[in-house]
Amino acid sequence: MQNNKQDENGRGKFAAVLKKIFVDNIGWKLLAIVSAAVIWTLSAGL
Amino acid sequence: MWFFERVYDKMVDKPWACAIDIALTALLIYGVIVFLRKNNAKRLVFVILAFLAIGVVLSSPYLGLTVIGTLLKYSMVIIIAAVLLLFPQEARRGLLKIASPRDTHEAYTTAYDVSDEQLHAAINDIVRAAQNMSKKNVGALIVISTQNMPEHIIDSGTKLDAVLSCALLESIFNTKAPLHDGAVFVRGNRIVAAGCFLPLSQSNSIDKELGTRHRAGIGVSENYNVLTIIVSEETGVISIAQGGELTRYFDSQMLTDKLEQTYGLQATPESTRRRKRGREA
Repeated sequence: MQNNKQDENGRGKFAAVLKKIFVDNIGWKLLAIVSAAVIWTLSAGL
Repeated sequence: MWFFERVYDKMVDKPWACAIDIALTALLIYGVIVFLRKNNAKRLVFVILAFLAIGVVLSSPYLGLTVIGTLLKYSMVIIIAAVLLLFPQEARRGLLKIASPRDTHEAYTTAYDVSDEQLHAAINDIVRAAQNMSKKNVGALIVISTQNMPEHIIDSGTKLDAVLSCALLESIFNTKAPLHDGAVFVRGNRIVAAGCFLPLSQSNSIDKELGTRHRAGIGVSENYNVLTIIVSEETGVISIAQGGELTRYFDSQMLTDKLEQTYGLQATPESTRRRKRGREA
C-alpha cells in the first residue's frame, strides 16, 4: 500500500514537472522558440 | 533564393549544431521574457526581439553597413546594459540569488562566537517580543542580518552592540523611546544597531494597505541577504520579508521555526516538547 502511494506521489511530481515544461506559459515559450528560429535563419542566410 | 540555399546548406552541414544553437537562443530569449514579464514590461519583450532581428539583418556583411552593423553586432551588450539601467533592483536581486548559497542556513553561519543554546535563547526572546508587541499593536521592524551587514544602513542608526533580550527589544520599539523609529539590526544574539533607516521597496505588487514599515522591510530584503520581521502597528500582524517576498500572519510557532531554520539550528528538546504539546492540545 505504501509503495503504491509512493508511486502515485512520484507520478504526480513527474506530471507536475511535465506540465511546467510543456503547458505553463506555452505561448511565451513558443514565441521564444519562433523568435530564436527567425533570428537564426536571418543570421545563417545573410 | 541564395538566402534559402545558404540556410539549407548550413542546416545540412551541421544539423545538431543548428538545433543546439536555436535551442540555446530560445532559452536565452525565454529568460529575458520571464524577467521582463515579472517586472511588468511585456511590451519591452517585443521591442527587444525586433531590435535583435533588425540587428542581425543590418550587421550582415552583404549589406555593407559597417558602422551600424558593428554597433548592432554588440546589440546584446546594449540590451543587457539597458535592462540593468531600467531594473537595477531586480537585476541586483537576481545576481544575489545566483551568488548566495542555496541553503539559507549557510548564509547565517554561527561564526558569532555564540553557542547554539544562546542562539535558541535569542530566538525565544525575539519571538516573545514580537508576540508582546503584536498584542499591544506596537509597530516593530527587526532585521536579522548575516556577516555582510549593509554598513551604510547600520551607520544611519545608533550602534548598540547589546546582548539581545525581549525587554530590550520592547523598550526600543516603545513609541516614547527615541530609537523606536527605524529598524533594529540583530546578528547572532546581539542587537547591533537601532533606529536604522532602510531602503523602501519600489515594487508595485505590494498591497496598498501595507504601509511604509512593510515597504522598508521588503526593500532591505530585496537588496541584501537578510530576514526581516515586521509587526504591524495597525493590525498587530507579524510578517516576514525575505528575498523581496512578504509572508504574513506568522504565529509564535511559525516564527520560531522560521528563525531556527534561518539560523540553521536543529530543534531543541524543549521546542520539540512544546510542539508536541501544541499538537496534542
